[in-house]
Amino acid sequence: MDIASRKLLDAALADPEAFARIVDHTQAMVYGVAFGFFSNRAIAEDLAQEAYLELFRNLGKLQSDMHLVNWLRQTTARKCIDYSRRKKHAPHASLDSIPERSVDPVEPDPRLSAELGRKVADLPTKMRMVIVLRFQEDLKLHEIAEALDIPVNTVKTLLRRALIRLRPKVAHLRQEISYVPMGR
Amino acid sequence: MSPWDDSHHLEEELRRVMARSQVPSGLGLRVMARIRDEARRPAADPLQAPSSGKIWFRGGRALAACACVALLVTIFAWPREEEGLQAHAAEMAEVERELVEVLQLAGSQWNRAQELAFPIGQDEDHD
Repeated sequence: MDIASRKLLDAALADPEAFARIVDHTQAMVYGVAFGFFSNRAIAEDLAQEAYLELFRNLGKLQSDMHLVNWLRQTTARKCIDYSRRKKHAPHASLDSIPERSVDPVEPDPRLSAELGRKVADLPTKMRMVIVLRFQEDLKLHEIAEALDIPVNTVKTLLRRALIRLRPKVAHLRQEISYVPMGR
Repeated sequence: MSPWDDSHHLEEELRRVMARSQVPSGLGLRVMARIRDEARRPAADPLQAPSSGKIWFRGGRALAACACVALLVTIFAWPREEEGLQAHAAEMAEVERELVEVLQLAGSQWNRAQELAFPIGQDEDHD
């Protein structure tokens, strides 16, 4: 793909169907980031729609098609953080939200998943977003730094602090789950 | 040490738990409906529409920061100014005292010089 190409963006400017194709290709990422951050379907969908509206308004300004996904990810992350700060939204991963996540080859323990989800939801805003981008979106540290517009070292620090916060809680829970007697 | 004390195991668990959620059906359609609404609005030209208000937000923050700095300067500088005025007044009073002393000394020296130059007894002798 040509780095400076704007074929996709220009097509989307002229044709709603082309824009719809962009939405189809990127909605899993956009909705995924918002849902991973809030564990709330309604808020995640609303923020996803907001992100696409902003994309529509800025189609003419984006440099190239190559920037599209990064721009959308950055915009979604920013909207999540802004919304969280504005509303002081403290998400709590409800048990019914857990099965909505895609099924993994290794079936996670639902109790552990729910508890870990809650612990992640209790993390401070930026720390939580770093966890979402790192472990859900599988981004590299420099990509997270770019998405959140912060230095790589800050990302490293946030990630390390988040893991330090989560580790004892999860270890404790894992031990509890491991020692449940068979047949119960 | 439990294996869960190791970050590697925690990271694996996080990857499992944080797997991407399924997109709700019809999200794309709802997005496009909003886009069409946006496009129908009179000022919805994508090239003309305002971006996100980020610049205004930053401008507002900068303005608020300036106001805070001005307030802090006022709060901290005001008593210092008063203190400075008081110190200045004390200094001026000291200078004034010294000046009076010097003038008094000069006056007495002048009187003494006059007395030496024109002693009272001499005048009488001349007469």
